[in-house]
This record gives sequence, C-alpha cells and structure tokens, in this order.
Amino acid sequence: MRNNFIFIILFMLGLYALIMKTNLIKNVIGLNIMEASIFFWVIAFSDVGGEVAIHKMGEEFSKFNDPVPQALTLTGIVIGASTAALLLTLIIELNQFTDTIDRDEIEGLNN
Amino acid sequence: MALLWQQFLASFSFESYFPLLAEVGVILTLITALAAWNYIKEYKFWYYILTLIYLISTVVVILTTDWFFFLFAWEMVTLTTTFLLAWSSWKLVKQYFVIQFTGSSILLFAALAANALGYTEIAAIDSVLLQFVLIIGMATKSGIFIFHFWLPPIHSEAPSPVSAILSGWVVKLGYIFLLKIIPIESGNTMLYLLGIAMVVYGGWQAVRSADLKIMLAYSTVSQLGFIALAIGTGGELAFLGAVLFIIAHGFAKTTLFITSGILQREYGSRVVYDFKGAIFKRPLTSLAVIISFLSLAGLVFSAGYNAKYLISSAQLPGLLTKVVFFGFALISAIYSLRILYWIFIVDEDYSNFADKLKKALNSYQIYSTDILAILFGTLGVLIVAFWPEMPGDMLEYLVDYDFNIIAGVRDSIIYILLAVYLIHNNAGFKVKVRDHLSLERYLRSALDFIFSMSRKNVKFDTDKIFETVFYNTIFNTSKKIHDFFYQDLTIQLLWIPVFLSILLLWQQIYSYF
Amino acid sequence: MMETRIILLIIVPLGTAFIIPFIDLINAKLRRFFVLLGISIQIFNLTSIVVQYFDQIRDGSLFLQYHLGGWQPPFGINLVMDNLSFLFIAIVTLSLLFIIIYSIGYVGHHEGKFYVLYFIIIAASNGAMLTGDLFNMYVFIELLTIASGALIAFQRSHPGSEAAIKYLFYNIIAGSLIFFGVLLTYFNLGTLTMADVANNFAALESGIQLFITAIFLTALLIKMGVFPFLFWLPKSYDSSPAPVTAVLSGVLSKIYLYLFIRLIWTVIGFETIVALNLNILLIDIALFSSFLGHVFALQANNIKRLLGYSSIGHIGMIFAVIMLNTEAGFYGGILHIIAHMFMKAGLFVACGYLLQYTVSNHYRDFKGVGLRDKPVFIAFIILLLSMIGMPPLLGFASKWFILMAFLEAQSYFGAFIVIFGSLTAVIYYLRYIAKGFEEVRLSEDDLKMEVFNQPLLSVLYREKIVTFITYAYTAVIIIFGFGFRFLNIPLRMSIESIMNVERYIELVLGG
Repeated sequence: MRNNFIFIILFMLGLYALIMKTNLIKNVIGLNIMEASIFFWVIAFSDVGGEVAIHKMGEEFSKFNDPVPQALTLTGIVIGASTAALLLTLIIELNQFTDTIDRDEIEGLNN
Repeated sequence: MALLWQQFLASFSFESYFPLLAEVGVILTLITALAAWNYIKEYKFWYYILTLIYLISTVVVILTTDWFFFLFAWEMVTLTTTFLLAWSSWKLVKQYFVIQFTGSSILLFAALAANALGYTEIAAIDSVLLQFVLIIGMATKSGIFIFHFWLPPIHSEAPSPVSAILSGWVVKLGYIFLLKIIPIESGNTMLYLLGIAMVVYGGWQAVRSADLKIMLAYSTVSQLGFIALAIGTGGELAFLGAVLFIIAHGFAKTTLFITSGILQREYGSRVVYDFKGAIFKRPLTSLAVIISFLSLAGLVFSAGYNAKYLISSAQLPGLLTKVVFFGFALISAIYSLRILYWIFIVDEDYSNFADKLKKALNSYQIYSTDILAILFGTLGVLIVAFWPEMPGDMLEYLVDYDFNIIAGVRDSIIYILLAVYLIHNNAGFKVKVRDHLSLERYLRSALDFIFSMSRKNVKFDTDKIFETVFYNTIFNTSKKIHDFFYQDLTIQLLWIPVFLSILLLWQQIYSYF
Repeated sequence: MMETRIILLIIVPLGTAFIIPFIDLINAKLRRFFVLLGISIQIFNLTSIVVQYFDQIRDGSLFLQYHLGGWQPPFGINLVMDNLSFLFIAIVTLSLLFIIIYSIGYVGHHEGKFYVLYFIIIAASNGAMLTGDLFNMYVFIELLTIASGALIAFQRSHPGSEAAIKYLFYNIIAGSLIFFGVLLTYFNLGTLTMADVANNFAALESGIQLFITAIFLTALLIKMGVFPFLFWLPKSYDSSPAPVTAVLSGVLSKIYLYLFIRLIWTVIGFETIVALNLNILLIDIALFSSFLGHVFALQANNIKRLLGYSSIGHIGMIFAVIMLNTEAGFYGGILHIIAHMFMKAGLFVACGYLLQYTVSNHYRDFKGVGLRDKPVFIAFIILLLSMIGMPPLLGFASKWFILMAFLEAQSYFGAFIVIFGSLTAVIYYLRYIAKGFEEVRLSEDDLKMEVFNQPLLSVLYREKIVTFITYAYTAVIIIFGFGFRFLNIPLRMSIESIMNVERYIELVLGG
C-alpha cells in the first residue's frame, strides 16, 4: 500500500519553510526537504515489491522493481546538492555584506 | 520600392465625386497660398514647402483606396498642418500635435481592425460596430461633437491663412473619408444625432461670440454638423448634399478666414464691434464677407442654399423635420446676419454712399494677392450657387434638378425677417468680449471645478501643469501599481502554490463561471 | 539518420568549459585562444550542417537524430534537430558569439571562471534545445539554472548576491516541479522520450493530464517570468554584469520559450490544453503580465531595471500570441523572439558600455552619458526605437505581425496591449534619451568615485571590441528590419514543424 499522504505532508513542510520562514538558511533546508520528499515519493512509488533486476542477471523472473526512477533520482540528488551548495555559498557572501541572514532585514530581496 | 510605387499608383480611384473634391481641395489650397504671400513674413520658403507637401497629401487622402497610403497621407497632412501652426506659436504646435496624435492612434487601431476583418480596401463598411470605431477614430481629427473641444481654440489662434486651411479643408477630410465608408443606403444613426448636436451647440456658441475668429471657428463646428447629419441620413440626395456642402463651406470659410486676417490687420482687433466703416476702407473685402456670410446663412442664390436644400429634401417628409430644419437654418441665419449687422449696419453712415465709395476706391491700398484670393473664393461660392452640377457636369444627378427657387426665396425672406427681428430686439446679441480661447484655460477651469468641490482655493500655474502633471500622474500611478504587486519576498513566493492550486482547480472554477 | 555533428554541438562547449581551468594552470594567456577556438568550432559545426542540409532546411524536411549509446528512441536518449530547433540554435549561437566577444573586452578579474560558466551555458542551451528526452531536458535546465545563478552573482557585490539568491529560490522550485512532472509522466506512461510521450499522452485520464500540464506550466512560467512570478526578473537583470544580463534576457528567456513550444505543442498537445480550457486563462495571464511589465517600466528609475520590466512586457506578448495557436500567431511570435533577442541583448551590451564610469545605474547618473560616447549612444537610441517599433527597424516588422495576428484572431485585448506597449515605451524611453543628452559637470571626487566603483571592469578596457559588438547588434536590427523577408522561409518551415506533430513522432520512433 503506497500512501501518498506522508510525502504530501513532507512537501508542504518544505514549502512552508521555504516561503514563510525568514531565515535564509532555513529556506534552503526547506528547499531540500521539498526535493527530498519528491525523491522519497519516487523511490517508494517505483518499489512494487518485486525483485531487484541487477541481482538476477541472466535469470527469468516475473516481477521486478523498475531501476530507471532510481537512476533519475540519483541525478536529482546530485543536482539538488549542487544547488544547495551554490545557495549556501551565496548566503555566506550576502552575510558578509549585511551581517544578517534574516530575510526581513535585507531590503534588497524584496524588490 | 518599385513594387510599393506601383501599388501606390494602383490604389488611386477616380470614381464618383472624389476627383471633384480633390480639385476643390487643390483650388482652396492655392487660394490660401496666394493669401499667405503677404501675411507670412518669416521663413516664407519653408511655409510654401510645407504647403506643397500638404497639397499632395490631401489629394492622396481623398483619392486612395489603400488603407496604408491613406493613413500615411493623413499623417502627413497632420504633420504639415502642425508645423504650419508654428507661425503662430510653439505652444499651439505642441497642443495640436498631442491631440492629433491621440486621434491618429485610435484611427490607426480602427483601420487595422477594419483591415483584419476583411475590408482590404477603403469602401463601404457594413458592420455598425466598425463604423462606430472609425467614427470615433476620425472624430478628433474632424471635430465631431465632444471631440470638437480643441477646434475653436486652435482655429481661432492660428495665423489666418493656416486657419483657412484648417477650417476650410483639413477638417473636411474626415467627412470625405466617411462618405467612402458609410454605406449610401443606410447611413448611420449615431452620426446623424451627433450632427444635430453639433449644429445646435456650434450655432449657439457662434451667437455668443464677439470675436470674429472665434465666431468663425464655432460656426465651423455648426456647419460641420450639417455634413455629419447629411452623411448620417444616407441616400443619394443626402450624400450629394454633403458633397455640395463640403465644397460650399470650404469656399466660404476659406474666404472668411482670409478676410478676417485682412480686417484684423486693418483695425488691429478681432472684435466685431470695432470694425467701423469697413465698407469704405476695404470695399472688395467687404463684398466678399457679405457674399460668404450669405452663403453660410444658406440664403437663396447662394452656395449654402443649394446644399442645405438637398440635405433637407433627403429627410423623411413630415412636419417635424420641416420645423427642425427650419430651426437649424434659422440658427445659421442668425449668427451670420448678426456679424453682418455689427460690421456693416450699426453706427454706419450711408449717406453719400456713391461718393464715399469712389473716394475710397481712389485711395485704395491694394494687397494684390489678398484681393486675388478673395476674388477666387467668392467666385467659388458663386459657381456653386448657380451651377450646382459643377462645371463639366461632374455631378450628373444635379443637372436637371429642381432646387425649388421660389420656395427658397420665400423661406429666405422669412429667415431674414425673423433674424432681423430677433437681432434688433436683442440689441444685436451684444455679448462681452471673451478672452482668447486656449486649451490651457479649459484645463484650468476643469481643475478649478474639481478643487471647488473640495472647497479649497488653489491657484494653478497651468503652463507648468501642462508640462509636468502629465508625467507625474503616470509616474505615480504606475508606482502605486508597482508597490501593490511588489510585496515582500514571502508574498511573492506565495504566488507559486496559489497559482498551482488555481491551475489544478481550474476545471471547477471554469465550470462555475 | 545518425548525425554525429549535433552531439558535437553539446560536447564541444562542455569540453571547452572543462579544459579552460587546466589551461589556466599552464598559461593564462592561452585561455582566450581556447575560448575563441571553442566558439569557432561551434560555429563551424553549425555552418557545416547548414551547408550540407541546405536543401532540406529550405523545404522544411530537415530532421537529424543522434542516439546516445546506440539505443533506439523509446529506450535510449536521443537528440533531435528539426527546423524549429535549428532556427533557435542558429540565432542563439549567433547571439552567444556576439556576447562572448563582448565579454572578452568586458570581464576583468576571474576571466577563466567566467568562461567556464559561460561555456556550460552554451552547452546546456544547445542541449535543452536538441534533446528529445524529457529527463535530459530537466538536467539541461538545471545546468542552465546553476550556471546562470553563479554568473548573476559573479560581481561579488551586495545586490548581485541578493539577486542570485532570489533567482535561485524561484528557479530551483521550478526545477523540482519539472522533476516531479517528468517522473509523473514516467510512472503513467513508462517512457521518457518526447515522441513516445506525445503518442500516448492523449490516452491518459484528464485528471492526470491536468496535473502534469499544470506542473509543467507553472515551472515554465516561473522560468520565463510571466505575471505571478515576474518578481525575480528585474532584480537579477539589474544586478548582474552586462554580458550576463544580455545572456539572461537575450538567450535564456528565449530558450524557455522554445521549451514551452516543445512541451505544449509536441509533447502535451495543444488539443489537451484546449480540452482543459487552459488556453484562454493563459492568454489572459500573459497579456496581463505584459500590461504590468509596461506599467512597471513607467516608474523605473534605473535603466537596467527598466529594460527588465520591458522584457516582461515583451515576453508576455510573445507568450500570448503563440498561445493563439494560429499560423500568423506563430509567425509574429517567433519573429519577435528573434527581434527581441537581438534588441535586448544589444541594449544591455550598450548599457554595459555606457554605464562603465557612472556611479550606479540610477536615472540621475544617466545624465550626460550620451555626450560622453556619442556614437554608441546613437546606436543605443536606434535599438530603443526598434523596441518602440519604428518602421524601418526589425521591431516594427515583428510587432506588426503580432498585431495582425491578434486582430485576425479577434483578440482585441491583445491588440490593445501591443499598441499600449508601444505608446508607454515612447514615454519611458524618451525620458532616458533626454537625460542622456543633459550637460554635466563633474568634480574631482565624483570622478574618483565613478572610476573606482566598478570592480569588474578590465584594466585594459578593450573599447574597440565592445563598441564593435554594439554596432553589430544595431546592424543586425537595421539589416533585418529592411530585409525581414529573408526570415520568411525559416519561419514558415519552423511553424510547419510545430504544427506537424505526427511527422515528428513518426520520424523519431520510426527512424
């Protein structure tokens, strides 16, 4: 039984942290939670309770777990990590100019 | 380029009365050009270059059937006349340009819409909505009611030859365009009603003017109303009436504006009460004034009579229309005869008329070009009066048409008697001399009105307002809109889930509406 | 038919991007040679494709494929070049070439890093336009986002990092949405090849269709900067260095427009959008966005921000006219994509030159700019006039076609927006032109402040190169303004490849 509910909650949590929190680092964490929820969902959705194809090379079997979503998710994780790294770098740099990471105190982000 | 040129030549159409109108336009421009020779002192060369471009463009506007060349040529007309106003003042140039530019953009939009809806050539347009848009488009250019507000100030402040061009021919181009696009069978009711409003309003304002040029400008509005009304009526007779009216009014108004220039220079004033002894100082000019005003009044044996007769006989028969048209004719008779009364009758001594005239003619200082121009103009009026079918039988329909001269004589006598009675009883409708009209004054009174409602007493520097209010309003409004949408980052990011939800629920929302 | 050269269009810039750091280790002076070499190979590649397949480009039957790893389409990744992607790659490459030559004169310090990121953008943009695989498209889009995000903050300034953070927030969300959409498609259809998806998409039930479409649309609207998501755009255009802004406005937004056309017409199918009743909503949103862009531009006190706002206006207009789904609409839309690409890139390039010694991009500092560099300022004015839509220039031709398309479809709101855009543009551009010709007298301190204010400027500012590129853009605008008929055949052919989806599917899956 694949229950989508938990992923939706996780996604909403991430979105909430991204949009409503004023701390930029928390925003990045929220962004990552959001992405992670999608990854979890993909992995869970692709698990149909069958065999793992790579373990049974050359054998006949009726039901197997699709490896493609896992490969895609791996790519997604790499991209997510690099974007998070870039964002964090930029936040550190911004911190050098403003001495704060509170979104409300940085006027330039609004306009 | 060669292709464009071929297309240009192929777009001309020499059918029905448009070649005649083009000819009249050329003649009127030449008349004003003659009159301008003495009037314009500086940069004569440029004046005539502009006149030449204007002349070519008007011919194109009248004869072409291609939307593109039509719009282009009309823009050229607008531009040249705009710069002709520079011989008066740059302020006028700016105001006129802004107004005409606004009108042009509406017209451009309307023309594009017509083009897109399949009317690839300028011809009769059936869709009433499109007619409406096109009428609004040329309303600003041709001074249709409500959009006429710029016409009296600009026409009265321009130099006399330029006023003659503007009032005599430029405003008519719009009506010539309407003659092409309004279907001859049906006419257009809105145009008809607007025409009535123009006749009454213009006439009333003309009666209330003491300044000759302002009065002439308002009478232009009134007379243009007759043309709009005729086109709005529809039918062969009404359209021919409109054509005849355009020609008659063109000649009369051109002559009158030129003479107003001469009188203004002679007396150093534009107020009609000041013109004492005009007939002895400028006999020929005075003769032209009399003939032209009689034509404006629509008295029998004048150009105006023929045109008005055609228009009124095109109306539905009935007592009401008769009465209404009688009223219209009476209005024009009153404001025309009133001016004649003030110039030639009040406080004039006509004893020893022949001697004085002879003496005046002996010591007559001749502005040859002016006199020539006036003669041509008067000749035009007389030709339309006695040969309404035009030399060469250009309006075949009118060759044997019976203009019912006897009834005309009767009506004219009634008009004259009524008008004389009214003028005499009301002491010539003497009004105080108004200031010169200007668009800035309109703006100031509008602002005063708005502020008077909030009970504040504020003095305005209108010149500055005209320059800056425009930009500041735009800037502040857009700033407010900008600030409204640009909230802080949280709200900006919130749009994403909101928009996504709207898209996902779009089926429900769509079916709800 | 397998064509190796189209994968070279991606590999060569990517390779150049990775070689440049090593070249820097050996000898920094060799760097520029390799940069030019990379872009020349790119141009050569493209030219050889044009020469070899000239007849097919002319009659609209151009279709080149490359299967990565030799896997046939429903299973492997494939690259596809048809007339539409060819046209876009050609203009994007031309624009990128101009900007890279410009940046040789412009970027001073950290030039090597700049070129690494720049070549990644070239590779990713070509990849995004060539790929026939949904997930591959997502990867290239993310590559574009990361590289452009880093480039926006390249100046290491306060507003630069703010702009980059804002840009990344928006675009990473869009990226995750695309990822989500791609995987949803995969789970429902079991394939990622665009042609295969297109074949089966209509068979899905409408709830899933709506979900996938909505996710893709939201992501692409964020990327393009259409109304509810336009807030990141002016900030990042304003704060990034001139060549980067030219890339952002001239290239990236056009790539997303291309991807939008690909996704909506080829993959999802316009009939689906119509069946979901989304087309009217999207047209109205886009037109409203265009309206807002022009209104915002009226109050902008900063020339680069102003150009950003007007970009919003123009992109909304293009979006709406494409959504009409008529031939005239596509014709005007794609012509305006080309026109806007060259005009905006040219304007930002000219801005970068004109604002080199001023304290900021603010309106009051624009004073006297036109007197200092008259020829460049005249080129700048010509480009502005083209934006407004003056007759002999390219902007007029494209706006005219857009107007005709709106009127033909009887969308009078759209026609109004086109005219409104031109009228407001007159107001907000004239203000800056007038300011540029104002006399100015500088004190010693002002001069010092101006000169030391711009850290990015190269010490040996290569004036000739930079001005040359500005003139090149102006020349393109004027030449195509007179001869926009030259673009007739490529435009017609690309419209045909948009409209004829069956042919695309058949060629991908059958070949």
